[in-house]
Amino acid sequence: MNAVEIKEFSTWYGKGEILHNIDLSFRNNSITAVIGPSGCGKTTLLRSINRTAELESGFKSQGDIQVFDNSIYQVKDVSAVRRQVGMVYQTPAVLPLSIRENVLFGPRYYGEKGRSRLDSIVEKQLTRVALWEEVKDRLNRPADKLSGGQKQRLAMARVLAIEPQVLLLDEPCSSLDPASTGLIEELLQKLAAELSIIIVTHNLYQARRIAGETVFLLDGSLVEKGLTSEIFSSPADERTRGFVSGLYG
Amino acid sequence: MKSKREKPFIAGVTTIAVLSSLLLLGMVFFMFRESLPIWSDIGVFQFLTGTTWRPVAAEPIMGIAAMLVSTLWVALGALVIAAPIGFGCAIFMAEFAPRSLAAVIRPVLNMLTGIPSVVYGFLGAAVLVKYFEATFDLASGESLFAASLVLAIMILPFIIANSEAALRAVAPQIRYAGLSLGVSRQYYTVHILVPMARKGMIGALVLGLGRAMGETMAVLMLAGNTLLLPISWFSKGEPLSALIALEIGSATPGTAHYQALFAAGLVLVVLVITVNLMMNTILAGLKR
Amino acid sequence: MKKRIVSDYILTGFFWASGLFVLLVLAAILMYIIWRGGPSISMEFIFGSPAGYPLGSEGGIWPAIIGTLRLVLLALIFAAIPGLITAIYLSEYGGYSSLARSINLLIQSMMGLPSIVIGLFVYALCVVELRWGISLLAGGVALSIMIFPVIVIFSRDALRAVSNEYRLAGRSMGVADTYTLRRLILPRAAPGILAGILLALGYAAGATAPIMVTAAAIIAGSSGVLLEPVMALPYHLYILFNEHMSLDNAYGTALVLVAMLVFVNALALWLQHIQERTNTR
Ligand SMILES: Nc1ncnc2c1ncn2[C@@H]1O[C@H](COP(=O)(O)OP(=O)(O)O)[C@@H](O)[C@H]1O
Ligand SMILES: [Mg+2]
Repeated sequence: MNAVEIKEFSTWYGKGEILHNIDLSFRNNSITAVIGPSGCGKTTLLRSINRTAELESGFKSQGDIQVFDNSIYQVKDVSAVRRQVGMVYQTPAVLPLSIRENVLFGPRYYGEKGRSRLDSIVEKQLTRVALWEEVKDRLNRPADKLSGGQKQRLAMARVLAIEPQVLLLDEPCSSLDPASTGLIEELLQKLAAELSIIIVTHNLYQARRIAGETVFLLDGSLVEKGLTSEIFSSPADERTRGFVSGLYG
Repeated sequence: MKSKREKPFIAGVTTIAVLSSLLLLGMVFFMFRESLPIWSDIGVFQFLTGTTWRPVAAEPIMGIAAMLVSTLWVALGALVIAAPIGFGCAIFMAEFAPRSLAAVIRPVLNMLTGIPSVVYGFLGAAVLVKYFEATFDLASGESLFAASLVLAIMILPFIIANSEAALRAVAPQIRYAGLSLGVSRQYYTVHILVPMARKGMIGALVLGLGRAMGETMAVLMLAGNTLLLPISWFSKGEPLSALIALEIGSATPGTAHYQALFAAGLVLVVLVITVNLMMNTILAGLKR
Repeated sequence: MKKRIVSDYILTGFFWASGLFVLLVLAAILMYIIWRGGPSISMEFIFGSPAGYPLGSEGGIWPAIIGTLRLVLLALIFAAIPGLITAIYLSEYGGYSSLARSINLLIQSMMGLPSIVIGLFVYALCVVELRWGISLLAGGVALSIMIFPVIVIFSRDALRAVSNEYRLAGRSMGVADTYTLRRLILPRAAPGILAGILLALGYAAGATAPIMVTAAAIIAGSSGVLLEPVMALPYHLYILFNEHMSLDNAYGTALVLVAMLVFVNALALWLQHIQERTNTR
């Protein structure tokens, strides 16, 4: 079953067309990597899927995106889309709250109440991202004292706490050290059992390590999508070969 | 390139910069010197807390408590009125307004700053005070409240511009991280945006307070000019700035009256500079 | 969730109301002044001298317009050059030195100084001690002290907005910093500096408190002698209203004053816009 289906989708910032007529689908319970050179529109694609791209002024789109067979442009309330499709950004952003309240930011909004209920959410989500042991003694301290890797895992816990069905990650490891990167990759592989994960990465090794399928974007157009092993070993398109050969050459 | 010819230029520039900015210290010192007899004869405490102002009596009595209280009351009152609207408008412009509307409001704020205080005072006195007199059947409608109301409009642009800057300084990543959790913009605004901009917004308020305390013409025309200690927001009063403006021309140089007006001026300066330094500390704390 | 949706609506309503309130205030002020002051405006009003009994209850405001222009011009002459030089020091030479930081702090504090206090100081120093008396010159000095920090801050920020690339380019060619400053930096900062000077000018033209104790007279000729009192628009407005001379003429005077200042401010905004356009990469 497809978690996300993108149909004849194009976007613009002002007059500049960024994505050109993309047709693409992402499977459920799997990790799909999106690769491509800087500026090709990977972030824009991701941010279109949870409708945060439209927060930028001048953003326009055409075509349709469906998440579990429902068009994201036909829902009454964008919040519903954003709740269903969580996103983790390149620079780990912590909210100006305590560690605990960072995790609870979404749940409280959606009406979760009661000390024991909230406690269990915090523990569950922080455990899920392998942060619980590191922070359980300082849950009420400001989150901005954490290290970069910890912040990124906290950001993931915050997103997971709203129980999304699709998780988007935009170069989540680009500012992290190898140890934290390894931790997050492990996490994603575990999470893939429950969610559909779409990860933009500059690290082609990372794509090869964790993604079942890989999508190659160039200048806002879809060049090729296929099993990761095939994209890296025998791509159908000459341009894909050129790009992934950076891996070997 | 720092050539030989540059050195005297830099030295000259530095000297002029230093001299010009020393002007402030010079002024404060000058006012201190003029008012020295007051501090030594009457004493700081007596001068600040005395409620009788009879500078030209045979036995002059001079305490500025009534004026000091008027100044604070009028200014804080203006702040109370202006803060909610100012913050509301700043949030509106930073987060909710369509771009085109924000692009209209910004120059409008500049225009409002450009209107001189005597015009605000005049309109307040000719329209607002007359309205109060007619509606509440008063002999005269001037009051600290009327002054606060007009001052609130005068400081609104400062509060809005500085608060908006603080709100806009919040990193976009925080905004995306917050909104992509599916919470509403209002929820994000109240729980994330405003707390993050809090210090800058308080700084904006403090700046407004400093302005309100130093304002002269509007309070002169609206506060009612009586030397009694105000007992409510609707009392009349005479803030320090109005006192100085009204009396300096008629005070004979060298008399205790003249010196007392300088002492009052010094009190006003210290008040305003303290407030400004407070804001600098707040803003410095913000950068860290 | 219901409760949240309701409170969201209330908040949105409040934000919109605050924004529209500001627009409404300006519109109301301008329209009211035009409505009440418009009928008084005529050639005789603008170019005539005060007349009637008491003097000013009829006739025009020409001497007040001229007096205000003279005061402002004088203030500009005194404040512009030192202001610009201080700004150059702060943006080009001071860096983060403690001297520069102290000067910045002093200028910032000076900006917040109540204008009546400046009037008081100039009154004691110039009017009384130097025996200038209530005079155009003393008023010019008071206004110049008032606008000095405005000029410094706007010029400093205009200079700082010029990209550092130019300073580096100058250095890498081995030319003197002063040369780079004159040929590259100052021209690019010029619109912003000019905008600051215009704003300062408008600020001075509307100031009443500092001149009412140092320079202004209810009635004065328009001779322009430095050591004689002058009439000035804002003070004239105050007197017309406060001494119950003529409400109609007061509205007329307010309209002329506001029209002048709105024009100056609009010009400054336009220059600031140009400054931003030339200095964003
Ligand atoms: N807010 C924006 N306004 C205008 N153009 C933008 C904006 N964000 C991104 N772009 C442009 O869209 C293109 C794609 O950007 P992006 O999706 O961030 O690429 P990637 O993530 O692949 O590096 C780039 O050319 C970029 O300059
Ligand atoms: Mg990107």
